[in-house]
Parts: sequence; structure tokens; C-alpha cells
Amino acid sequence: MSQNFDMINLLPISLLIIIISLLPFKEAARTSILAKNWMHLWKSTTNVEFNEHHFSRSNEFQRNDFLKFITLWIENHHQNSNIEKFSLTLSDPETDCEIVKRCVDFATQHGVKDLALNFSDTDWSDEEYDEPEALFELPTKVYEHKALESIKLFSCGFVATKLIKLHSLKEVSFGWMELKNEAIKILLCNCKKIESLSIKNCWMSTNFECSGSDLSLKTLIIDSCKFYYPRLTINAPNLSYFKYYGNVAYFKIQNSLHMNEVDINFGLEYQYPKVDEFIHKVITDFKHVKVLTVCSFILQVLSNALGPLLVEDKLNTRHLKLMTSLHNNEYLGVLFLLNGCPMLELLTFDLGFGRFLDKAPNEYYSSESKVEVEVEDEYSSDGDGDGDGDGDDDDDDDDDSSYVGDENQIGFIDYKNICQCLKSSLKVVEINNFTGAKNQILMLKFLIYNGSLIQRITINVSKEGVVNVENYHKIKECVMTIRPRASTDLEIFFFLKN
Amino acid sequence: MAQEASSSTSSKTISLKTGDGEIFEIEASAAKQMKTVQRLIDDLGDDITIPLHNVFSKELPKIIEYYKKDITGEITKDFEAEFVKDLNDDEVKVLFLAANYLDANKLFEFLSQNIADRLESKSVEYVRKYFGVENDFTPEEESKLREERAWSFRGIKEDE
Repeated sequence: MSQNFDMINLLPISLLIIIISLLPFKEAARTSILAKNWMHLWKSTTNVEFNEHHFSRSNEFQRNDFLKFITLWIENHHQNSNIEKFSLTLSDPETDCEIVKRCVDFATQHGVKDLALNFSDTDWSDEEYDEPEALFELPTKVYEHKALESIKLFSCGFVATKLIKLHSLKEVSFGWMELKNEAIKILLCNCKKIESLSIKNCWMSTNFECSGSDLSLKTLIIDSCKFYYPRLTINAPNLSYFKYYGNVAYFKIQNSLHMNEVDINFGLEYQYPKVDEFIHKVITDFKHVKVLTVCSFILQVLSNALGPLLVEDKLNTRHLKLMTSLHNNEYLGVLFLLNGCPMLELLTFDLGFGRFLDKAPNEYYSSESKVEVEVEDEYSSDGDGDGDGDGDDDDDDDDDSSYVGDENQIGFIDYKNICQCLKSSLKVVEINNFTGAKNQILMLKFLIYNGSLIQRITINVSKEGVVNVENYHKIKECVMTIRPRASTDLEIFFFLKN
Repeated sequence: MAQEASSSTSSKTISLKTGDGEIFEIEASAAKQMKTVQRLIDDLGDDITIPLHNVFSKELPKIIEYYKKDITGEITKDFEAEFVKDLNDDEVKVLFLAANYLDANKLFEFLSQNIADRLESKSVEYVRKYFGVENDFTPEEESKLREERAWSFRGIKEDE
């Protein structure tokens, strides 16, 4: 062992710099106090980040300190060492536009491959903004810097016809700007190497179209954008990962056979949609995707009307991630989805993301048996026109479900073909932010009673959620003693997380 | 690992001998990924056992495991996460040094990133120990430096 110890002492500086360069800039700076011979090593980092948020003291941004730091850094930098990644985050860039230009010159002169410029105003929030004009224009030098492989522009205007000169671009990210579909089209058609496109907090007055039979695009992320026409056409044969977060949008998906992972989150919606059939299309458009993440909004729409349609259309999903609170309005949707994924192997619950939509119709799918779920009190206050959130039904009015809990619990939905996946494929379940609420325990019971192949259930308990350690142990005890277990191989793991 | 000695073919295996005298087999195509090994093969021939003085029996199997996956193109993020999951910080360091010695680029890059990830937000004392660095600053010098770099120390908890 001591042999290796000495070896690391004798590590050539070039190796230390490699590791330092993989650290965030702020961390790299701290290595300067490790020892005297480390004092200046960090300055050779190839990963430079000038971020105004690091220079706030008691919430007041020390702009002058920040700008001084940048100036000194640039002046003292060795001419010979190269920069791989450069990132500048500065609000109100026009006031100091000379420094911004110097930064960009500095980065391009040192061969930067990954450039990020973020001029967004810290006051802008995800949910409400007035579509401000971009606060800066991309300096011309950048368009000539052919080595660039990754570019991220937030509130930094650009000219698409010039940007396409950057043939080596692989990753493109835009934020806090108006985007025109033409720009995206031109970019994707001309920069054939682009594999990843991310647009965040942008607004588009045109349709969004991302299509081309020879697109290399593998990753598409659309986050908190405003579309005047929320119709998104996606036809990218190599697309493997698609993530959407925002208001309801209508997707037209083609050539999606290679899509591996899709995450649809209508998390900016607070109202139940007037027309809800499109949700069925959303689900079936992605039915062959292996990893599917579904949000509370979708679960509620499924609960209210469309779930049964899934009986016809089975999904190929192997890993289903649900962002939910397992409350009354979502519960059925969860069960419908489980029923619709006969090959499901891994099920993840990300708890705490449910919400009650305004104006949700108060109808449950009525059949021979209804499920009545007791909702934890903390949720009933959130309801709005939802009937009473605190369903106080103590009578077990169920029937032929396979197993019923003990007296004070309630029964389960009974379908003719109950959740095929529970009998034939589901192996692993993960629950995040578990708090031990009744409805969560109920779901666990449902899975444990019926999941004959489940090998592992991992339960991550949130420290805040359980309040104290005693509670944690009570909950753990309760779960560990759930019987009967359909699976003979079942192991349950509990973790307490911050 | 029993070796099929007379495999008539494409998967030629190379014998590697660690600094502590143990012998391991790898496929020739995996050996190609480790430039140091390949150079030794070029110099010494592929029939003799290649001596690796600075790599030991504790880490070589892990390295072989990585490149076995690599030559079948099966290295995924999940595999890499599993690969380092149960390793402690020192074990990763040892593997990193071995990868550097063997000039095994892909593994080296992966492990460098893993080390950086592990060191992120650790205390200064921890990082010192990790790199075997003696603090040769006086307390005054150190606090002066901390003051100058105050921006990088804000919001970091020092106690590990």
C-alpha cells in the first residue's frame, strides 16, 4: 500500500491537473490551499467557470469583486495552456460588455470546445416571465471558432445562418430567448453532428419542428418553454432520449422506434384539460419506449376517463417512473398504467409530485368494484372542488380482490386480468421520498401481496417527511411485516435520506 | 481462470504477471487497449508472460473486467456505476494509478472523473490525505489564502 501512496505523491503535475480540471471551478480553486506546491496548480485547470453566483456575500452580488477576479485571471493566465470548457454567468452584461468580449476572446484563443454564456436575469422565474429580449448578442469571434463542440446560450442572441459554420457542434442548448423554428431547422440540417438539443425557458411563436431523416439527434430536452402553437413535431430517427416539461403540448411523433427513454411532465398545468383524449395518444405514441416517466397530470387524466382505453393498447415499458403523491385523483391512473405495462420490470415512485388539478371531474371509473382510498390529511387541504379529500370510508366494500388488508384497510381494484406485470415481470420497485402515509402503505401492500416475482423493494425515506427517528422505525416495522408476500425472494431495503 | 490453450483462433490470450507474482489472462484485443501492455507485447512477443511491475493482483482483475466489457461494446453508464459502486476512495485511486501506468485511456478517463466526483465537496483535510499532501502553510498563511479565495469557500462545509 505504501508503494502506491508514494506513487501518488510523485504523480506528475499533468495528472493532477487532469483531475483538477474535472472538478468544478470553485472546487479547483480550493485546492490552492492544500499545500504550497498546489497553490498555483489550479490555475492550469482546463475547466473555467466565471459565475456571478459564487461572488455573492449575504445575498448581495459583489459585482466589482467578480469583474476584478475575471480581469486578473485573464491577465495572469499562461498563454500556453488550453481551455476545454469555459462558462460565464453574468447578469446585465451590456454594462460591462467589454469584459464579456474579453472573456469570449480569451476562451476562443485558448481553443475552447465547450462554451456557455448565461446572461439571464436572476429575477426571471420558470413560470412567469415577460419574454424579454436577449440581453446580449453572441460576439462574432465565436462564429469563426470552428473547434467548438458544445454551445450554451442563455439570453444571448445569435444568428442561425452564422452559427451553422460551426460544423463540429455536438451539443446545443438555448435558454431565455425567443426561438424561431427556422433557426432550429437550419441548425439541425447543417450541423450534422448535433446529438443533443436542449431548449429551456424559450418561447416560440412558430410551430416546433424537429425533423429530418438524417438527423444525428439523440437527446432532445424541452423545458419550461412557451409555445403559441403547442404542436410539436418530432421526427428524428436516432432520437433516444426525449424530455418535456411544461404546459400541455400535442406531440406528433414519427420514426420513434429507437426512442429509449421518454419523460413527459406537464408540471406547469394546474387545470384539468377541457379535452383530454390527447393524453391517450401521448401514452400510446411512446408505447415502445423502454423507460417512461409519467407525471401527476397524466395520472389524473388517466384516472378520470381514459385508463380503461389502455386495456387495448399495451405498452412495452420496462421501467416506469411515476411522479405522484398517490392521492385520490391519481391512484386509479397508477393502477391503469401498471395494468397497461405487461412487461414492466422496474417501477419507481417519485413521491411528493402530485397536485390536485382545478376542476377535475369527480367521476371514477365505475365498474363492479370501486376503490376507495383514504387520503392523508395533508392533501385534503389542497383539494379544490374535488369532493372531500378526506374520504372517511371505513367500510370495506370490496369483494373479489385477491387479498384484502386487515379490517381498517381498504380493498383494491379488481380487474379480470390484474396487472399482468405483477405476475410475470416486475422485479424491482423503488420508492423515493417515502413518508409512510396510508396511501403509500396501501400501494406497497398491493405490490407485495400480488407481485410474485419482485426481488427487491428499495424505500428511500425522506428525513423531513418522517419527522423523527422513532417514526421512521415504526414505518419500517410496519412495512417489513406486511404479509402475505407473493414473492418468496423478496428483500426490502430502507434508507433514510436527507 | 482456466485457459483454453489451443484455441484455434481469433481470441488469442495474453498472460500478464503482476508485481506480486500472480498471472492473469486477457484477450489480445483487450490488451490492445492498454498501450503499455501493447508496447511490451511488441517488444517481447505475445507468447511470453508480460511482467507488470507496478500493477498488483488486487487491481488487475478489475481492470480486466472493464476491458472485457469494452471489447464487446457493452460499457454503459449503468455498468460504470456498478463498477465503482463498491469501491472506496483508496481503491479507486489505486485503479487510477494502474490505469495510468498501463496507459489504458478509456478506463483512465472514467476513473479520473470518478475521483473528481468523489472529491467534490469533501473537506480540504480529506483531499490532503487523499493525495498524501502535507500542509506546509503556517496558520497565518493559510487563513490569508482562504481570505483571498473567500468566494470559493463560501457555502462549503469543512467538516466531513
